[in-house]
Amino acid sequence: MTIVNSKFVTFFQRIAKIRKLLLLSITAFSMSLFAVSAMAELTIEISEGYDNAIPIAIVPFHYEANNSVASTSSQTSNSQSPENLAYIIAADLRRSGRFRPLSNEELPAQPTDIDTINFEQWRDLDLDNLLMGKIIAEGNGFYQIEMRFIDVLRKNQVIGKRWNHIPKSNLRQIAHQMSDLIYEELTGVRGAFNTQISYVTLRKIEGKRHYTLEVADSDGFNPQPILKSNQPIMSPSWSPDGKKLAYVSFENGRSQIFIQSLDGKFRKNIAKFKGINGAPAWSPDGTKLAMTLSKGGSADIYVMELETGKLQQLTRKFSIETEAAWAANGESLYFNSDRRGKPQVFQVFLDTGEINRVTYNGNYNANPEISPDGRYLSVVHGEGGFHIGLLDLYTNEFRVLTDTFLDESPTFSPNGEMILYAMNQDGKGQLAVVAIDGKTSQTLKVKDGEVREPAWGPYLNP
Amino acid sequence: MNHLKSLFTLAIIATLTACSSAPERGASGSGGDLSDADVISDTAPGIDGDKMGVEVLSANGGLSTDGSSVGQSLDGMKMVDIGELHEPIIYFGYDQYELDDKTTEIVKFYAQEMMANPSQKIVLKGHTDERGTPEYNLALGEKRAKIVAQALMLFGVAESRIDIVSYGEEQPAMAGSNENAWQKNRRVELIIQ
Amino acid sequence: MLSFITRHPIAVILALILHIAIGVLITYEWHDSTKSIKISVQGEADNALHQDRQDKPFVNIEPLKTFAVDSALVKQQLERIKSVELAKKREQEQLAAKTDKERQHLKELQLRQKEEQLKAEKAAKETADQILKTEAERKKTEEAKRLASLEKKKADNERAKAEKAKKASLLAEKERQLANEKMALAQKQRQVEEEKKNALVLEIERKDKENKALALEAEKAKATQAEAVAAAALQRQLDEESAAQRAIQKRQQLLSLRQTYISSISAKVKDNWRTPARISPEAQCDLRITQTPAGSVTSVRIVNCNSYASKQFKDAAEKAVYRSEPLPAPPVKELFERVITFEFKP
Repeated sequence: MTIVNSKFVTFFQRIAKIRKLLLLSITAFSMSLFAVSAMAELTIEISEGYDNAIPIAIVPFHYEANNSVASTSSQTSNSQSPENLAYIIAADLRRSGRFRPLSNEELPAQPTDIDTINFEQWRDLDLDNLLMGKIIAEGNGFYQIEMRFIDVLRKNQVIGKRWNHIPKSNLRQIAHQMSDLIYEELTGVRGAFNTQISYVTLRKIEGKRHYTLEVADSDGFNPQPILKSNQPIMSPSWSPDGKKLAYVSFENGRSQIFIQSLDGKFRKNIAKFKGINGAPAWSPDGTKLAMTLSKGGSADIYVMELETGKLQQLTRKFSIETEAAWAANGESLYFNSDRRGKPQVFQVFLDTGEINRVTYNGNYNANPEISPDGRYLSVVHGEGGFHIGLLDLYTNEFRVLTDTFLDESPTFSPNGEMILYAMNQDGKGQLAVVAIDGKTSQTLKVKDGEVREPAWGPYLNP
Repeated sequence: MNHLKSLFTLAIIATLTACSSAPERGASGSGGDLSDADVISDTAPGIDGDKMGVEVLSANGGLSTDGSSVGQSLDGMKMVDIGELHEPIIYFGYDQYELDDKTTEIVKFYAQEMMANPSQKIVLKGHTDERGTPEYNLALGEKRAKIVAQALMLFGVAESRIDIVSYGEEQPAMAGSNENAWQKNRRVELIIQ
Repeated sequence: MLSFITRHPIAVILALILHIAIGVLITYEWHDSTKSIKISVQGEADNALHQDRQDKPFVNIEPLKTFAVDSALVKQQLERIKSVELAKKREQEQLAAKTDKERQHLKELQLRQKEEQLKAEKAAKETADQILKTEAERKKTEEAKRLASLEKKKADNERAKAEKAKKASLLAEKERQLANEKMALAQKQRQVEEEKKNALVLEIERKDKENKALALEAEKAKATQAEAVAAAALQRQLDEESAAQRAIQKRQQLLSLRQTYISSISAKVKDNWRTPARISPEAQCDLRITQTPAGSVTSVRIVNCNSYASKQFKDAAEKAVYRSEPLPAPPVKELFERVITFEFKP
């Protein structure tokens, strides 16, 4: 309840001035720490899929060079599609576990127009749907993208869409958007392919530890380091608008909380109290940050108003209280407390301060996360190892979803269908994804190091 | 007998103090005494210093802190037991943050040294094994460091001379996902500066 | 000097005492000051104990001793702190456990309430569904009645045809017996003429085949003939039997056949059901399928859905119908219906 950081507001006013300096210092910081910028993409392995994955045809997109350019050049560039959109979409849909995209060899034809489709041909393959489309070069590195999603059985077009003036660098994003559209059409649930994840990689180079906070597309492509340090980085948390991350960095010798914009233009150390500063969690409305501070003697849950820096202390216990997660309506927080000896999840209401115990399944339930719809609570469940557990808050039904080793840091996809989490395989920290019905799972690996502390970002265009 | 023992411990204190404080002074000797700044400049070399107790064998040599502990055990072969007893690391049970008789003895030993050298400060670095969630372990590491601090204070060391840092599970002393490694990683490192 | 002493004895004594006192005072102060210098030299380390300082050159030994004494105390203190903390914790825990229990109880109560509410809602929904259903069924039976009356005439004809078919099958049976006899005869012949050449056997077999073919043809011919005969017979029977009784029988037969026909379609659609969507197990709709006599679907309408049926459920149901093409043919051609409606629940 004390006012901290009176400089906070002035800082905002001075951002413009300081920005350049900050940028410079950040770049200098990273350059000095990393001689080699190893930035391996995450590779995804699907370990399990649904038994009844539905076959679907994703026809390679037809590439056309600029209309104004002479036909000769169009012929030469025909094979040079700037991005294999069909491949990206097929991979997305396959990863969901619900679809089985046909391989190119299985495709009987590669139509580009609904008139040229021989429906019987596709029906014979036991197909329901077919995606086809075009990439048309507009020149100057811009493209027009067209998609047509066809119902082979009803012989009609279900989705038809066109994107104009798309730069090459955004083509992957468009592909993920198409995956989202198809996924929603067929499952009734919004797709979460066009989203980002953040995570921390750890590489040991000549005995030194190198931590990198990275942001990548949900399929692990396009990883962008946003912070490099030889000291630990922990617990990234996305702002609801997807533009900033709050995280814990040890760069000053102890755990402190920072907020940084993805473009690196804004960075601020917002919690550097005595003791630990950890477990940042952004409120659904983006105005507050829940965190764990031990300035009062032991780790307790606090909420900081970001505008003013004002702190509200929500727990006062000698035991450990940490890992706060906001309820979907922002009115309460779920958190981990070992006040009963072992970690269990409790809930505290911001207005009354009332505290309830939430988990009763087994004697270890830590690191709560809430599904975007507020229905499910995922935990790290300790019982003969550590696994991701899922508690249905409506029915009180509890299930263990994973069977990997040392599972931790669960984070929901923005559509609530999947949980991304950290685990240990072959002695290395790796990420994995599991569907909330537990029916499909996949692992995300980084070639030359370990990956930990994942956080799935919000929808990019809400 | 008693005198002899005291003399010997004094000798150890003397060597330890000489060796451990010398490089640290050099690193953060400037008078500013901004504790944060100190910590920053200390941690980088301090990490290697941390390994004094655990990773001495594989350490890359250079630092004199490593040299001292090695040299010490070579000095008096018969005294290895005492040397081990007074390794500046306190180990804990799984999910525990309590001191037993043996670890209290170690804390006492370093409290004595602190009392004997009033200019010294001590950093307590709390660590956990990889099991359990990272943020919970961050808090657990702090609990461990704090119980050591409490004991130091009961032995007379002023609170102002003690600094506490928790690393949680982020800096294991030994890699590996087995009880052997975990045991080595649940620890508080005492770093006298 | 002596006389001075004897003359002023008191003064002299006083003077002496004074001198001695001064001397004592001076020496005392001098000693004291040397001691204080000592302290300033040595006392830096610790000012707890001074006594043994001169004997022992090592400054640090005293604190060691002190600690040796203190350590037990400290341990005690630690223990006490621990036990107090434990007690506090235990108290807290007990309190918390109690409140926990109450909360848990409350939670359970809430849950139960929720469940009951859910149950009630479900029950309400079900009764609503039930009402809808009975309404639908009432309509259906009405329709069936209308259909039945319409079909009465049709039924007569069909009954006649069915009986024709029956007769035909009887005739066919006779034909088969005849053929069998023929075959038996042929066999006898074969037995008799066994010694004769194989060529002859082959010949007989060929003839046999021809005979069979002929017999089949004859069968067919006789069947058509039989139809006519049966029709005539039926006409006769019509006069003989009670018309009403027959009508009832016929209708029941037809209804059950129709039911089998529709079930065969709905079963095939169910077989072809698949969806990537998560579908409520309660979801249900009526499918109204329009088809050609060959069983190809010309249109599918999804109607009378309950509240659990999502867009994806309806889409998937429609696709399942298309995937079931061609739809199963009726067991009796006359049972074919261009528009089929059935309840669908995957």
